[in-house]
Amino acid sequence: MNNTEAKVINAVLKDKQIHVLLQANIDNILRTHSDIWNFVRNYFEHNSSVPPSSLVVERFRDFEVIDDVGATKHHLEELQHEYLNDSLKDILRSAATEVQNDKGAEALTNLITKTSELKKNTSAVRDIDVIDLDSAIAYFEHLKAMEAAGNVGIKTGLPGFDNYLPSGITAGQLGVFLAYPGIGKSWLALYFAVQAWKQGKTPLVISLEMSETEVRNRVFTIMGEGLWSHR
Amino acid sequence: METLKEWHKRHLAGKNPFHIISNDQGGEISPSVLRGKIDQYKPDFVIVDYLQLMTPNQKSDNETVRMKNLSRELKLMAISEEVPIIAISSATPDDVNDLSSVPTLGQTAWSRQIAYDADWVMALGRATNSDIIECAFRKNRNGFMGEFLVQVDFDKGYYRYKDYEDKQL
Repeated sequence: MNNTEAKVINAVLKDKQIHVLLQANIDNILRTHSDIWNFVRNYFEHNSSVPPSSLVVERFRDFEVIDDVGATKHHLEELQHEYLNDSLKDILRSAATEVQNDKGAEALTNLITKTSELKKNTSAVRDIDVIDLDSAIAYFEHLKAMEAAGNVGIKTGLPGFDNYLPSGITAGQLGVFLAYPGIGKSWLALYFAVQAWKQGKTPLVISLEMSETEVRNRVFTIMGEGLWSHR
Repeated sequence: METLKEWHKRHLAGKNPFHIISNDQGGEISPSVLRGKIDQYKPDFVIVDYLQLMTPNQKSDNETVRMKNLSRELKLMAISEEVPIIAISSATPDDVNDLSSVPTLGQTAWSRQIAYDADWVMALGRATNSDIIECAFRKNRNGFMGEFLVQVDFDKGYYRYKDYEDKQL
């Protein structure tokens, strides 16, 4: 267990795939390395990057650097597996003791609560309790802070589109343009990207159909509003 | 050239970067590559043009399976990287002679999975040689379904909203 935790931390420092851990409820699984993980996560939240391992070693003298590690996902799965087995053994053992002491009903209740807790900790599913006010407040505060920092949805400047998407194009959204070939969907997408750019955003266009220079010509055409022609 | 320099100085210099990535050299772009690029450039807006040309992380000969993996990965990426992603998808017409109608969700090429994963789907249609694009929301988790028209000039690169035909379904 101990060694697997060290491997997970080492793996994430190496391949920087921190999102794998962030969406996996890992906070509840780590026993010995939770302080190091908290440091890595805080560092990531402040600086948007994973800290170099030298920094972690400097901070945590007992942290053991393992060079020979695989992908974060692999070690995470190993850790979840071990955690699952260990925890299940504990749960079953205490249930068995209760049954022996003639407390069947209690054993059943404990089994149900503990196993569902276990399921939550070992799967990459996020849970939310609607009754949990603190969580709701934290979420709305986060939204407010985002808004104050200018992080609102992107407007396209086309009233037709913006009316149907009142909050704009927001983070976490997956939007789709669907059309037959040659209709102008790439054009419209580039137009949206230019509008976002004009609002101070940083667009990233993955073009698998046209070369990057062709796309740039089109972007220039849209930015120049007719000053440049792409043909 | 001089005009370009002048124009660049006036309109582009000092603004946010605008990154374009292509695989013209024959490289494959998979969701993992895209995630790496997002980590590198930290964009606020990502466009994938287009979905059917992207390589999924888990390879498969079956186009439906590929599409399923791809759209799932894109949705998860949008959430975990906290960035909006617009994916362009081609559609397969029921009748190859009719390319001017607005496609429906069922005509998404290869798989309809993207329609389940997407927050909104906007279908576009344009009659041959027309400068009016018909736009229709086929799915919208954040607002109403509806249609609107956009007038375009591809040479000048502008889009103008045509308001007189705005109709709500």
